Amino acid sequence: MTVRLNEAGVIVIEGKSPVEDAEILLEHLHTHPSATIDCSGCHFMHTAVVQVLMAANPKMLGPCGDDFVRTWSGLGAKSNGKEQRRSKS
Amino acid sequence: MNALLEQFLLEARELVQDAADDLAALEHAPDDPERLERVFRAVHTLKGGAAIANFPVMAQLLHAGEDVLSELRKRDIPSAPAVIKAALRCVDQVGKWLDEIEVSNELPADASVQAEMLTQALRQHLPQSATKMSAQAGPDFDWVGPLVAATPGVSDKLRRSEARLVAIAYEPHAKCFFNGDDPLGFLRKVPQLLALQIEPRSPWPPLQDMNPFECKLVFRAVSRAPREQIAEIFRLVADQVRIADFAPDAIPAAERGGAASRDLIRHVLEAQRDMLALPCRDKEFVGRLGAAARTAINVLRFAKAGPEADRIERARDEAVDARAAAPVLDALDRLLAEHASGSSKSAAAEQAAPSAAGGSLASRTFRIDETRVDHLVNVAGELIVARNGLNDLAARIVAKLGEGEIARALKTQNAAIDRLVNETHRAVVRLRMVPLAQVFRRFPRIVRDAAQELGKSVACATKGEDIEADKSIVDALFEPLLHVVRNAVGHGIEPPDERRAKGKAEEGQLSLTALRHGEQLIIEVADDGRGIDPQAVRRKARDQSLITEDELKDLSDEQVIQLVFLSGFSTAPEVSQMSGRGVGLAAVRSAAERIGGVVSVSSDVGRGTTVRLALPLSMALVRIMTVESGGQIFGVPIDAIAETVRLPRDRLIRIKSGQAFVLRDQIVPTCQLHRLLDLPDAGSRGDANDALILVTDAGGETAGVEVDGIGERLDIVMKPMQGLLAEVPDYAGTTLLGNGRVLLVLNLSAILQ
Repeated sequence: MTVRLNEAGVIVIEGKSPVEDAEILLEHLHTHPSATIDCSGCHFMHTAVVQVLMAANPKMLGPCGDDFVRTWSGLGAKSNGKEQRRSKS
Repeated sequence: MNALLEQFLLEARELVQDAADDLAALEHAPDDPERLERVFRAVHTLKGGAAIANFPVMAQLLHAGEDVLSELRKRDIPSAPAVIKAALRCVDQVGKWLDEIEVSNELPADASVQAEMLTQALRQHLPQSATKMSAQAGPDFDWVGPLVAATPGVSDKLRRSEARLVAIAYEPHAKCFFNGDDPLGFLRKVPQLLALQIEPRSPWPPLQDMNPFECKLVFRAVSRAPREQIAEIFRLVADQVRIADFAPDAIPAAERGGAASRDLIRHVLEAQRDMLALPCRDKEFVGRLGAAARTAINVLRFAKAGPEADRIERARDEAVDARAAAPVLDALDRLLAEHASGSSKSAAAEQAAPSAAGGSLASRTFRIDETRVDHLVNVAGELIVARNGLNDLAARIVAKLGEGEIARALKTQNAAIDRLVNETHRAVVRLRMVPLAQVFRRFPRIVRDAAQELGKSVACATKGEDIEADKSIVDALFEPLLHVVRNAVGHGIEPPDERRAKGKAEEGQLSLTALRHGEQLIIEVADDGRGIDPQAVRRKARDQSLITEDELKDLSDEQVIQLVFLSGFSTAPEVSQMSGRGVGLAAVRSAAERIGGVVSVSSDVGRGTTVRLALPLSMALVRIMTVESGGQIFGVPIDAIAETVRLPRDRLIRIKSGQAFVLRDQIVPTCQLHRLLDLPDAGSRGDANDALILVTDAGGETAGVEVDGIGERLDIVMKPMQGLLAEVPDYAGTTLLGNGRVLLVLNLSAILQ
């Protein structure tokens, strides 16, 4: 499972996140609208997942681990200030 | 038709004309940078106008034209005739489309096919790397500039490298995820990616309505990799992606820098405002406004400032209607002030000035409906007649009262009104005066095309195009001149080999000359071709029985060649597309006569032909002198009179059936006006009286016309002869005198012939 909701109420996306993750991610965001996202451990994100993140525009815990997505999608750029600390996974 | 479209048509026509003229001239002098610059600007403005008026096909074609011209301007490609010709065809096509739009409000159905063909033809001339569909093109690739500019560090890199960029617009199918596509996956493979923008196609729906497996994203990217390589990556989704080459230097300077996009946006908006505040020629106004507004809107949209972009859009529409840049300037100023949010208040204060200047600029010239001007001209004409009546009345009162105080006051007042009425009339008539350049400028192009069609080479020179004449005359001039010019190119000027054999330069010369001769406008169309052979004309006239043998015998060669203006006359052995149907020159004559003109031809066999049109300059005031003859009063235009001579009757010498007198060592043949007009001799002249003679050059040579009396001088508005009388050449027109009588104004040149 590359998408999970941890005990702290953070949605964690890890590893290689395939297209199916989009639905699960969306579910989580439905049930926990104020959940924070941690995708710093995700080194590859499918477009569908990126799309859900862009639409939901959730709070991000650190920058995205997928270099390409981080560079171009703007996801995690406006994070809570921890991006300096964790530049890459 | 809405105001925007109407305005666009008006301006686009002028621009097309300008561009076509300059391109035609460039064919002869391909290295004229000023002309090239002018064409480039005209095409650029046209493109902007076409985009605003919502003719994307036209804008795209013009864009291709602009690309080629831009390369020419930078001397990246040599200005070969073929390139100019392709550009000319592009401009011509736009001209044709404008005609279509005027009729149907839209482009013809085959427009996109034609545009594609012409675009291909244009692109052939572009350097290899840019041969494929180019970018910053049309609305589709508007985003490239802002995107590159907004991506930090990119534009600096670009300046250093000479490479061409590739722009990628990728709009995946909504169902692409089901096909196993990962759009970002393709983009990850793009080498040397410089910028990528990921945006939703439409605003995001609420999360609960979102379908996670429907792709709603669109991608825009810029890369430095070769186009082919990129095309290969997107091979499987080729239908969803558009790839275009893009020249880095096409990114506007204002968008350079790549600092924070906020600064950048301000920068761009400021640049647009500054540009709009600059003085601008009326015809460029819509184009410039459109370009500025579009750039502002794009940059705002890019910055996700939709409402602001809408505001500019509304302001633009308002500005187009008002024909003043002020609404857009104001909107830009407000936006900039908001953007600055207090940080640069002084800048906002400065902006008030250019906005005011921009507002007043547009009103410097304005267009008026022609019928309103005509109404004014008519009223001013009536005013003259009324003034003449008042003059008459004043003269009678003064005669009755004698030189008293009241009489003097009346005279003074009358003189003042006289002056003001004249001035008013002159000013009003001037409203309708346009330079002949409006007609003349079309000819170099026509001559060139006609000559090419016949495999001839003809240079066309025009002179006197700044002479002004009444709009109706200038407008009516085109058709007869066209016939004459086509005749000259078709029949007059010989093919190159024939010219060479005759020892002439291969390139034929055709000149259009306008000059003012008193109240007349003389237009001469001269060629250095084979001339008109009087013998051939005689033969033809006989064969076609246009004239009887007896009549023909009495005609001099000079008179014989005038027969070419007879209806049905043609010396051309065959009918070509251009001339030779035997209607040409007859049509010239009737067209010239319709506007009160006379046409004549002179020719030197083997040397060339000159067709001369003599036309009235305007409906302006004509200064006449009233003369008496055969018991009647006539008007004679003062311009036709060189001088008046009073001389003792014994100074008149009888020569055969005519009379003559010696004026400054020159013998001047003279004739009595009543004889010329077949009027009874009023017999008021006794031998004791001196003879009163008008000396005139009107008939082509100096001649005298004896009259019985000379009356007053008047400024009149001459009405041309109408109906049956229009056929009588002896009279130039009529006018209403102050006492209500109709005065016939003589056409001395016709009478003396």
